[in-house]
Amino acid sequence: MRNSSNDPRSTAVASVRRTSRLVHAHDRVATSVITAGGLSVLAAVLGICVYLLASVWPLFEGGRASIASTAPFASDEGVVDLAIDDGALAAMEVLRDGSVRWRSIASGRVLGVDRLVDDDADAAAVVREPRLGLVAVGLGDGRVVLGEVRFSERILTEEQGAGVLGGERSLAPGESFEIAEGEAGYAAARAFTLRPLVLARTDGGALRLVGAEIEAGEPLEIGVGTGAAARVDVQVGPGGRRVLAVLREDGSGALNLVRTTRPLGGGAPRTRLTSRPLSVDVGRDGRGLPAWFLAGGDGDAAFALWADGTLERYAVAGDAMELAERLDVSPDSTLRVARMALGARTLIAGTASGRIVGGFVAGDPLSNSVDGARFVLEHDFGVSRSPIASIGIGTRDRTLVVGDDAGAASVVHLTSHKRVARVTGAHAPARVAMGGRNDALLVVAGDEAGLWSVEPGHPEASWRMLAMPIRYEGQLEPEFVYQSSSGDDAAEPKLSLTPLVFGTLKATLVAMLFAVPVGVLAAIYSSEFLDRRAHAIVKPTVEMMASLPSVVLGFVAAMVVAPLMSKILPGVLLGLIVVPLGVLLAAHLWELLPARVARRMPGLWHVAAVGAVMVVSSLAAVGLGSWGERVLFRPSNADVLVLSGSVEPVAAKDAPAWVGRRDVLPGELQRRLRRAGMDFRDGSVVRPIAASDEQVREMRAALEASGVRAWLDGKFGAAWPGWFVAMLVPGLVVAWILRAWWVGQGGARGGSSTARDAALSALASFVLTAVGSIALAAGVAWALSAAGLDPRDSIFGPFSVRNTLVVGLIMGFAVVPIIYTISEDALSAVPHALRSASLGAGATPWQTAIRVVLPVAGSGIFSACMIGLGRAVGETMIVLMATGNTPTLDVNVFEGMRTLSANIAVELPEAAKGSTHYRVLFLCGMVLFVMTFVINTTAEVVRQRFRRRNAAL
Amino acid sequence: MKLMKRAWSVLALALVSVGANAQTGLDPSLPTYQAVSGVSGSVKSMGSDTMNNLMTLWAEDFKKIYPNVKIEIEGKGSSTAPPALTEGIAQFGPMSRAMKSSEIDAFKARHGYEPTKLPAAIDCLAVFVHRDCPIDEISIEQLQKVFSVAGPDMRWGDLGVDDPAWKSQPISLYGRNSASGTYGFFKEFALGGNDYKATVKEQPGSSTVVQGISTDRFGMGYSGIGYTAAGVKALRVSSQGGEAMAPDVEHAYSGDYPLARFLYVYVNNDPRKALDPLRAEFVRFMFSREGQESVLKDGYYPVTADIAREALADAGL
Repeated sequence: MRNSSNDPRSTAVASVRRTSRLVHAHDRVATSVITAGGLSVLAAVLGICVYLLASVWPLFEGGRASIASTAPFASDEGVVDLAIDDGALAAMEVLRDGSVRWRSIASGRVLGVDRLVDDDADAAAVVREPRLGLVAVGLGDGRVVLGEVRFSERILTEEQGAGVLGGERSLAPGESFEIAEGEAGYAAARAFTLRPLVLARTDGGALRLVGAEIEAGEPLEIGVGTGAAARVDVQVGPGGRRVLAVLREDGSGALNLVRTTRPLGGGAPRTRLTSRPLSVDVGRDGRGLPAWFLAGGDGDAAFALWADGTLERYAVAGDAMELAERLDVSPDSTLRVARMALGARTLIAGTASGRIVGGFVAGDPLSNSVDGARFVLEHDFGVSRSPIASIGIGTRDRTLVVGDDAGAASVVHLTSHKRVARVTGAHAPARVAMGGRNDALLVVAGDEAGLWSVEPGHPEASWRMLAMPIRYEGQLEPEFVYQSSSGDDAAEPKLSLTPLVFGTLKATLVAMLFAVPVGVLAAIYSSEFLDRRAHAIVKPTVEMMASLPSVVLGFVAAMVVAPLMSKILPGVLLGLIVVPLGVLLAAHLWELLPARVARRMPGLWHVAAVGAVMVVSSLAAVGLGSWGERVLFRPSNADVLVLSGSVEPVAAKDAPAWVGRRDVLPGELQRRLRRAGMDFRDGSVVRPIAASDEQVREMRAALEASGVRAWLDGKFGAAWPGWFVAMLVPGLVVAWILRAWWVGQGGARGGSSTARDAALSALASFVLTAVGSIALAAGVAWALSAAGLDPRDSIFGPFSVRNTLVVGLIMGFAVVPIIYTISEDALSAVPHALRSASLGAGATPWQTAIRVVLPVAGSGIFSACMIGLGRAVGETMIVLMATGNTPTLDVNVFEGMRTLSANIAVELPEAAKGSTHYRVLFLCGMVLFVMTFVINTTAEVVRQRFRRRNAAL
Repeated sequence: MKLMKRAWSVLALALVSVGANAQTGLDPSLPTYQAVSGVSGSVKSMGSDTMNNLMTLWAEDFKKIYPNVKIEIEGKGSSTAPPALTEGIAQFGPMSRAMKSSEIDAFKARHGYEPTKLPAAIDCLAVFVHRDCPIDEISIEQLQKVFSVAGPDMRWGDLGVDDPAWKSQPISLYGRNSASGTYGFFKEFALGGNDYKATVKEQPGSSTVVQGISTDRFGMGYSGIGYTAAGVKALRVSSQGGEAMAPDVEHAYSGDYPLARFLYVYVNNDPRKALDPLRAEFVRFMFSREGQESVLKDGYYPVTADIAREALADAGL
């Protein structure tokens, strides 16, 4: 190319040939690089998908069980409870006569027997609680022995192990050595534990000594009733409180609640005992003593349960327990076995028809029982075709193992009802026990015991748990709840993703409602109207805003915007309409300026003037806000009377039944009550006492300005003002669309003679439209409240400082620069020929911008909005810092939310690798991925259609 | 077999009198720390946010004695400690609650033995309100209603406030995120195991809880007593109709403050081996006079010499 030959043809040929080779080479390299890049992007995205799926998939798989060993276990009718240690080496059988028999699981050999009561005492009832191993033995003379029996475990050094094994022997990994009472090694091993059972070498090479700790107290007097202590139960409640229920043969008994305080500075623990007597009517229909008498872990409930399914619940009434309700928990079938689930709040029973039924106590304001609660029968699911023979409790979560009369055992999760595994043994009633870590299962049927190793998988995760409303323990109604963890294993996992998806959508919607109009309009302004010099400053400035780290924005939102907004809330709400109206008004006034003055104003000053107008109108909005608050959100005279306490109680028979017995009435119900001319105060239904106007005025003066926040809390007031405020912006938009339509129809064609007249008539039209929009808002608000709707049931509600509106504004602030800059580029890319043609044909710059430039740039603006949307959906730090991360399902814009991304950020550090929680967080990630994927795909499809339409230009 | 019959104290003993003389300062019999030679290397601590400042104070003082030691501290919440200890990412796991059985299981499945729990300081989990708040005390039963789903949405009037400016205002609730041990402890001991209301604003750290309340007049929240700041005040707490107790050292030692608790440091201590010198010296330092002085400095309460001795024995020292 650079040759100096003056033969143009030869140069051309040579250069074509040489260039083409180089270009081809470049082409090939570029093609392969781009292909490789594109493919690796695709591979990376696919890889992420596959990884997410692989992490999430196990959630929906069942568990597995495989047989590990079998051993002969002599059948014994006297066994009331069976338990195995964490390593599945030793088994404990609690016997009806008040003793505990220890066995080796590998051989079934009895290693020893310990009596919990004196040899001459006769045991009438024995029970063992699975978590801490508390035991209670009811004696024939009516006294009760309390104690603790549990496995203990110690890692021994090699010398210590050799001492137990007696020198000659050694253990290979996986081998174990049984230490029966009085045999070799027993004495040596007593140095480490009270009742040594098995020494084993783990697969990791450590020597593990499994033993037991046994404690039993002196018999205690119960102090009520006569006859044997025929039914006993002991449970552990929250905070380590212990509950002992005792029922004697004559039907009288007591529920004892023991709380222990441990002085942290040292000294003996102090205990406090609350004992409440109760009496069960054993003579009724000749039914006799209940088959089971169980204690609720909170210490406020006792359950008497008969085999025919009759349940009597006893609740606290002063210093005693009273019968709160009687119901039939199993109308179709008799009960075979009953006990409290982990946490001792849910009662579960196995029926002769192979089902598990169960329920818990939930507060119910409409209940007439002594404690204002009722028993909710939540669980009823089939486990087996044979009658249920036994239920074992897993101590790590709500997993149960259920044995039936055919010798089969099923591992099920109580909350999700998911069946983890099912195993079968000899055809005989099965006694079952779950290993401490829910990874081992002992099934004793006939004369044989089978030890199964279980992979429980993720029993607490199922579609029902993740997506459906569930009635959790203590709840009256099914709800969507996300509460992933707690300080205690006994808590039910609550893993509904619905509130998180909802929170994500809510935050995104509010942010986009703010960001799209601001971003797009700013882009139109700066590309079509803004002075070039000002443009050169404004655009880079806005683009710099995009580089603000979102954590900074979140910090500002939480520390500055949220407290400020709570101070000037009415001003913020009014600002949504006052600021745009103010700017428009200023524009119309500008038109009235003499052309000389207006043209002399340099572009930068123009920007400054718009800024000044915005500041002034914002300040005006704040000022108007407090005035509007006083005018709109003003308590009525009846409200003033109630708020000042000038009320009289309404007789219970006149009060609506749905009020029930409550301390506090939810806002929605209170408004319903108010519509009926009544109100609710300090736990009772009241009616205002009429007063003279003078008195009302005085009371009103005495009340401080209640304001919009009190209105939001539902303390007073009608629905109208709320709807009015909510409808202002939609009213404005609708009024302007109507106006534009009217102008388009030719309604404005009057033909003004001078520019000044034209400006004046435009101003008049503007004022008319503004007034019209406010009237429209008022009319719609009136109609909505006349229809009985209240915004406080939906979009409004109690005000929380860190709320959706704050997040929407600040997240909008983060999204605006993106939408602005991409839209602006799209608008600027519109060929100038189009603009010139339009202007030349006599269109105004505004008409050109809206009718010519905007449609051409439509696809770009749409992409801008979609990219902004993608950013808003995935935004983490702003939401994390500026909201309370409250996983609520509440559309109220004055309440916070928790988004999927914030949830992952908050909880991932605490989730143990491979745990259910960990996988649920990955599921959150996958849901987020799918959401953005759907948004982007839709965006792309729509954009392509735009582009095809505009391709002609 | 003849059993040892220890009196199962529960029902037999009722209301033993309060431990005779609750002391307030440092236990004089805590040992003074004796520096040894040859301590170097690096360790990482990961866990409680409540104990973050405390761990930092210990680490700084420890580094003054052993300049060659590097200590890295991360405090995102107690629940982050068990996975970190189990995976070997951290050597110390400060926790403001005791480990759950499932967490111990995971550790044991990996290492074959249980992690060692060392009670290194005493805290009163405090209930904070804005300093202008008209109430000064609250009962556990009220707390349960205010914070848990077992109660309705509460206003200040429901706690007996008569001031018209407060009466009808809803109580704005602040709490910790679920990774926090404080969150778990409060749920178990103040809320009776009930779930938190969904409207409790979950904050990533104790300081943000306190900060939130100091900027929200109608706020209420909880955190370790060490995070007391100017804009908030800690309420006295009563339980079961008893007298309300201030969250101070006296009521923490006597156990009368219902939300008093130990702050633990968990270590991975193989019972068949001795701790390496670096970790052994750090543990010794925590339970020395100097270490417990830092506890006081951070606003928590020191452990007694008896507890320190026991903890050192548990760590095989």
